[in-house]
Amino acid sequence: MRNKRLTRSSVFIAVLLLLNSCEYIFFKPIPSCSAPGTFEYLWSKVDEQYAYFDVKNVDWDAVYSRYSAKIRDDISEDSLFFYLGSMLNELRDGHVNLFSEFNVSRFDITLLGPQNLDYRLVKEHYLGNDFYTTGPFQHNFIAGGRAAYIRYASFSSGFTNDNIRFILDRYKDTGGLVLDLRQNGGGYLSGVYQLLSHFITTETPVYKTCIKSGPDHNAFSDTEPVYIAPFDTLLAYSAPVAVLIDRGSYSASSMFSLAAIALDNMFLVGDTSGGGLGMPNGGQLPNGWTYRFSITRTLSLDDNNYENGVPPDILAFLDPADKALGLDTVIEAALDSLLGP
Amino acid sequence: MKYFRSCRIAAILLIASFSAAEEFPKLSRHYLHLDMGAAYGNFRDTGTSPLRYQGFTAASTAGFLSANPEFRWGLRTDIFYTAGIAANAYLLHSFYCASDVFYLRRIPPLSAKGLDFFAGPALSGLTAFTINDAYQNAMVNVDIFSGLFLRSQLQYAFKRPEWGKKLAFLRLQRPARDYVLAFRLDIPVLRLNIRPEFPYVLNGTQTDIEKIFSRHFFAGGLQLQSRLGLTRFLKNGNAIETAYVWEMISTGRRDIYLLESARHALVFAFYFRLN
Repeated sequence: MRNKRLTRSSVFIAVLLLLNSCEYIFFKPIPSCSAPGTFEYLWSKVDEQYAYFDVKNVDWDAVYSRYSAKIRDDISEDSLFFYLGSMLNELRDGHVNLFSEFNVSRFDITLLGPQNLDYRLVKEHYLGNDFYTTGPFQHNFIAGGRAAYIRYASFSSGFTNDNIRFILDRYKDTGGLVLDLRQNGGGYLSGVYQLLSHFITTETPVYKTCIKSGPDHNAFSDTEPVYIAPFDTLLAYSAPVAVLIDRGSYSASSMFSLAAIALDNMFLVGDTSGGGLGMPNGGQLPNGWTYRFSITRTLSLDDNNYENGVPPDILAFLDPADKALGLDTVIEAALDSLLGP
Repeated sequence: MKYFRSCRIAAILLIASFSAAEEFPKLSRHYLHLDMGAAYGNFRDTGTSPLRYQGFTAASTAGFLSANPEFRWGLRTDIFYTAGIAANAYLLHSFYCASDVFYLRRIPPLSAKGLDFFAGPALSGLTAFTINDAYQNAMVNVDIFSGLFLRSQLQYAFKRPEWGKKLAFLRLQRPARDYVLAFRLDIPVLRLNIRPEFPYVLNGTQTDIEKIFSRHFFAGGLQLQSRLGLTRFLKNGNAIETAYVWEMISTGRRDIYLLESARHALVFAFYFRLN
């Protein structure tokens, strides 16, 4: 009786142990987490999925040749990070990053042009002390009440439709708005659609988009227009809007700038935007570090690719002479267009 | 009108054919069962990471079972969660919601006294949500798997005899109890998978939801499920089962990015007799 029980228990335990490792018979082995293995993996991922090799004019095979020679098995983690980060920075793309526990690699797009904003100047001479703060927006009347200035510093700061309605209602009798997106580094794309929906009266195409569809550098899905629906056809703001941009207006801000081109009542003033019109995809490397890079393209309605920056309709840079007089050259250029010189 | 008449005749014939073909014994017992279990799970989706995440998994199941000496059918819904860690730093959350419906018949040539072999189809659907905030825009993913399985169940029913002993003033007694030791294995016949397309993430620059959810449909891969359980029947007709559950999915070569997932769980199930 005891023997029988023992046999039964042994069979039960043996079956359990057998099942416990069963899946590894069917699963593929994990790739090498060595330095060369990690380098190969990252290079291939970018090669197959990155969306802007042509726009950035980068020969990715040449990049492989240059960097693979530097990656050895005995390289330190810090050096490997340096080389992988440098390799990614060959793409000159602010949406490309490598993340480890000890560092984050980045390509700082804002350094490609001057910071075309002096917020102290804006506060002292345009917003004043009595400016309103509604959600993430700072705003006030300017030019003797004939126009309004609205500062939006980051699309990462969410807002409500009530916020926008309050602002637009306050300035409904002005001759135009100055929407300042200078040094707005982007954030949530949904904020772009939400903000724009208050400036249109019909469903409006604002840009075109496509996404990588295969490993070939030119493999993309069909290009499709993106439409934005109006928030309220009766309450939409219809006076002209000057959108201020500079090289620090990146990602969602550049998307907003691109959409502004498509709208009749908006125009761009300042420096070329930072670009960053692709949606970044993220993932992990065999050694555990994570990465991201763009895998979509966003084109203007006339098929121009402004990944490297959306150009302004009116080019304007801060002038030290104007600054000395308490004038923001970019805002003044916008006001000249909105209200006349 | 003609169409409706044809449908009615077809329905009557269908019901009649079932009634004629099956003479089911009227001994079916219906159970509502609730399972709870926890153990080890692992997960790897090469669309986001070549690493295998391993960690804790917890599962809960609710279902209905109709059992009869000749056949059994049932349906169930599983919810399970896995928290997996890779590279000692990254945490992946995986939520699965699965449901299946099955119908098994006893196969007499493969059965003997006390040993019953059941086989039949099982239809299963599974939706998997994974979240890993380290992956930026690819941090959330949804996969859908459905499949037709050949489910086989080998079960051995035995009775533990009554036992009693008198020790001085104590009278030790253990009543007779009925047990069933069962092993179940699901082998896939047809599997359909819905997984992310080549770039893996959605085109977030698009506002049209239909266009955003472009997915990759394909058939194939391997999904195995097994359950080894010991069920003890109580006097009131209810039952308690202790089971070891093993499930694995590999989406296979037709997938753009291979997904591999497995879980092992020690499960306690309570069967409440309904009739």
